[in-house]
Amino acid sequence: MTFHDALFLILATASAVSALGVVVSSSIIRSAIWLLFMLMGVSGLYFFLGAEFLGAAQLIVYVGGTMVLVVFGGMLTTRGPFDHVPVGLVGWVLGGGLSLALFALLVQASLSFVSHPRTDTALPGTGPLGLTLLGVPETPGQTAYLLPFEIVSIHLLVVLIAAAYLARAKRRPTSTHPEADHG
Amino acid sequence: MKSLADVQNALLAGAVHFVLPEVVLVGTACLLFVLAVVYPRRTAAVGLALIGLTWAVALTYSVGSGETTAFWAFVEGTPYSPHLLAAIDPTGLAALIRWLALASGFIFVLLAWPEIQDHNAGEYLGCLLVMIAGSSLIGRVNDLVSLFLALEMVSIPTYVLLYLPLRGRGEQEAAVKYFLLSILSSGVLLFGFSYLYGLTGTTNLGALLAVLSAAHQHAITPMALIAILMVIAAFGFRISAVPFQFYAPDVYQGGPTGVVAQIAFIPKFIGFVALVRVLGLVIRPQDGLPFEASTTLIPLVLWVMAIVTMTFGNVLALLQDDLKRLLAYSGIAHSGYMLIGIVVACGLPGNSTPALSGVDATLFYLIAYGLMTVGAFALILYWNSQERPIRTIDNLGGLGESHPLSAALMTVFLFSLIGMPMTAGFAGKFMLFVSAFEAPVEPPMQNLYRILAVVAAVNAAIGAVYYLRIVGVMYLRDPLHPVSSARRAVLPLFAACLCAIGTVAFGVYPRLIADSTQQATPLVEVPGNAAVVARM
Repeated sequence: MTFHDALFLILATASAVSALGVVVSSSIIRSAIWLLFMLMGVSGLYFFLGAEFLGAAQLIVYVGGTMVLVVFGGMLTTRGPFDHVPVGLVGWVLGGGLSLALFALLVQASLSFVSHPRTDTALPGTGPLGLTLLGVPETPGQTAYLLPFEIVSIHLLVVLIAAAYLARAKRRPTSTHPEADHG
Repeated sequence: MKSLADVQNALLAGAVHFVLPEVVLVGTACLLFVLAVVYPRRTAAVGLALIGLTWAVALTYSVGSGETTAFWAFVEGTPYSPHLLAAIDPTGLAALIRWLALASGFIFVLLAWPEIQDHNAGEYLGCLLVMIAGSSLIGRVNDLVSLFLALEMVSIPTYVLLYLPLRGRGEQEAAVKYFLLSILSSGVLLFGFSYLYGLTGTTNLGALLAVLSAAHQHAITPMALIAILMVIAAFGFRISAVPFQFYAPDVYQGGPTGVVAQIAFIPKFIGFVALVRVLGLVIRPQDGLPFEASTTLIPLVLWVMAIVTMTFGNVLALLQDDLKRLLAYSGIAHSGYMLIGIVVACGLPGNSTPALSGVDATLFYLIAYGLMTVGAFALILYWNSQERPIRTIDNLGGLGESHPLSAALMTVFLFSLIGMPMTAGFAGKFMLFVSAFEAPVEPPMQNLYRILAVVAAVNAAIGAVYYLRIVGVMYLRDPLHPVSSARRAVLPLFAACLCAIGTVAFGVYPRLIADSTQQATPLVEVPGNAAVVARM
């Protein structure tokens, strides 16, 4: 066993065990922490495969941003009955059976899939990626993502409006405008 | 001769001109968000939204077929196919979908009037315009990333709209339910897309389908099957096909009526358009469909889905007393009918030229369904008032006498939903059944198609029971609680009139839109270029 294999085994086992932990743990906060380790394991796998940008993005966006939000959300909202979510036998059998079936299907499909190793081993760094995002494809055949990039900003705008409205709604009850109901 | 890079750069630069009306809509939405802060008035917001929509219509009209010409001009004199390179593709369905989106935009602004107040008008209409822009984009995106983002341009504003006219617990529950299931379906969709990208190495839809078709000539990749099943599941949520329909009755019942009318039409509409694009029914690859009936079970899966969906919807609609729940189940049933066209189109052999390709029948039915369902919701909105809310079918008692005009309009919509002759619903069902019956396929599939048409006909008969029940209550029963005759907003009634005129016009003379739906879905194969595909 080479050093590479050993490293891969460690990373893969860590991710898999944490993923199981997410499902098995009945406390929401514990699940979230397990998810944190799972995401870190996956980003480790990205680094291991040489996809530095993807690994870094995974760390920054998921581990750094999303997970903190999940933990905060959990801490703020879980009170009393929702702190622990026990799963009944039926849930275990149904959910477990379905996920095992899906897992078997995915494993079977991945094993039957013959991948052709890329001839160009150099993976793009952040520079070329940024250029592609802004509409300057480096090589023919690449797509530029300026338009999708703009659409994402529209999404963010709508989400911001929604968040502002949710926060505002509590202070301004709808009953202050009764005359505007039917006109 | 232009090089590949030149063509690509020209297509990239030109793409902006293919989305101008959408840019105008999104720009108007931004203005509305600002206006909501500085001048929160309902009339101003509605006026601005209508100006934006009119501007977009004017732009669409002035562009005409110039888009398609410009699109093909980019590749003139080169061996490349623009469908394999461009991210925005204004050919085929695109123009029709844009007109449909804009027309539905006008109707939904009219429906919004009674439900918005000064303090949320700007946000509501802004979100609505973003939704319209997104659904118009779905008809022309040719790239997985853009397709996903355009779909989300419809979903995210829907969450906001469900929450904006917030009044009670029921509405909150509806909003949360829709949100959770919708993000789940988006997650499944991305999972499927990631496999498709991993298999082909390109996000361009045309190139992706061409690669898959070419690969499937030799052997089917199980990975691609799993991917397309996930994609179908995710779109199944949007078109509320069984088994992804759970949210529909609760959301329809709890949500604000104007928004429910949008949910009843727009997600279905974009779900079907996105489905036909991803299955390659619009841009037919040279080597045939990637998921053909002869090699994969995907058309069979859709066949089962169609039958189960229409039967489930119709049988459960029989049991409903709540008007909006009934319309939810009826919407599920109609999705089942519309799936017939997709099944037929999936099974057509490569070089056949039937009178109806299936996709055009589905598109026609979508338009008819939109007119009659949105019209019915408009009337519910019109009759509804604070003192006398319209919830159950019994609330409609005696409307035939007290509100003769609106009751007559409702009868037109219900007859169209049943599929009575002289209505758009009949013409749509007729086209769907004929496309299934006359499909030029070999015997084992042919029998399946005929079974499908027969099951659909039986279902249409079941549907007549619960629609006629509503007509009976309106005309034959005395009012339990008379619908209040207080002064009410006339804009929903106006919208219902427009829908009724469309329903009757397209029913009496279906060619009005049947011609454009057929032109939008030509059966010709797009000339592929293997050299370009191989390089990607």
